[in-house]
Amino acid sequence: MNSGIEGLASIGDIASVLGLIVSIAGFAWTLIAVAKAKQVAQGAKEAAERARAEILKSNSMVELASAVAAMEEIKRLHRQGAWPLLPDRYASLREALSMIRTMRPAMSDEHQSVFQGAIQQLRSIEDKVERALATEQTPRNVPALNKVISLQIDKLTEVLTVMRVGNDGQ
Amino acid sequence: MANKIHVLVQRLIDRTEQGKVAWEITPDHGTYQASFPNYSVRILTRTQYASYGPSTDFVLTIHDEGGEMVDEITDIGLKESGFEDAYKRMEHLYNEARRKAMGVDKVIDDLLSDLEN
Repeated sequence: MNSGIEGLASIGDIASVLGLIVSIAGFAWTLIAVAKAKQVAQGAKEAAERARAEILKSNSMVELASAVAAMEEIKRLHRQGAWPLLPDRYASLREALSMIRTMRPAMSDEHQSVFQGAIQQLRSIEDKVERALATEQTPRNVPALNKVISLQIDKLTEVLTVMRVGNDGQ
Repeated sequence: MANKIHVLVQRLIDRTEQGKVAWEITPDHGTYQASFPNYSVRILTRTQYASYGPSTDFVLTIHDEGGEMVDEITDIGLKESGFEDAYKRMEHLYNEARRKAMGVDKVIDDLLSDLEN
C-alpha cells in the first residue's frame, strides 16, 4: 500500500518537474516569439520610413524640376513683357522652393544656401516688378533680370543632379 | 548688439578674403548677394547728397529666409558704434564682394595664362 502511495507521489513529482520544464520552455518560446515579432515590427517600421523618405525624395526632385521649368517660363514672360502676370509667378515659385527645402531637412548647408539665394533673388525681382507696376512703368533691364534667373537655374540644376545621383546625404 | 554687428561684419570680411563666401550678382546694378542656409546678406553703395557734395556710403542688408530685410548696417552706423576704419573696411568688403560676384580673379588668372602662352 505504502509503495503504491510512494509510486503515485513520485509520478506526481515527475509530472511537476515536467510541468515546470514545459512552462519554462513555453515562457522561453514566448519571449523568443515576442522578440521576433518586435524585430519584424521594427523592420516594417524602418521599411515604411525608407519608403516615406524615398517618396519625399522623389517628390522633391519632381518639384525642383518643375521649379526650374517655371523659372524658364518666367524668363520667357520677361522677354514678352507680360509684367502683370509675373508677381504671382514669383510668389508661387518662392513657395515651391521653400516647400522643397522643408521636404529635405538633411540637405547640406551648401544646397540650403542655393535655395535661400534663389528665394532672395526672386523676392528682390518681385519687389522691383511690383514697384514698376505700381507706378505704371515697366522694369527696364530685362537682360539683367534674366541673367540672374539663369544663374539660379544653373545652381538649382546642379542641386537636382546631385539629388538624382543620391549624393546629397538624404 | 553693436559688438555682434562688428563681429558679423569682420567675419564676413575674413570669410570673403578666404574665398569662403559665394557672392553673386543681383538684378540691381552694383548690389551683390551672399546666401547662407537661412539668411542672405547684400552689399551695395548709396549716394548721399550733402551741402559739400555727393558722398558714397556702403550698406549691408540682412534678409530672412523669406527674403524680407531684417536689418541694415551702414559704414556711418558702424563708425558711430565704435567700429574702427568703418568706411575703409566696408569699402574693402564691397570691392571683394564685387570681384567674387563678377569672377574678376578668374578672368585675370585666365588672361595671365593666355598671355603666358
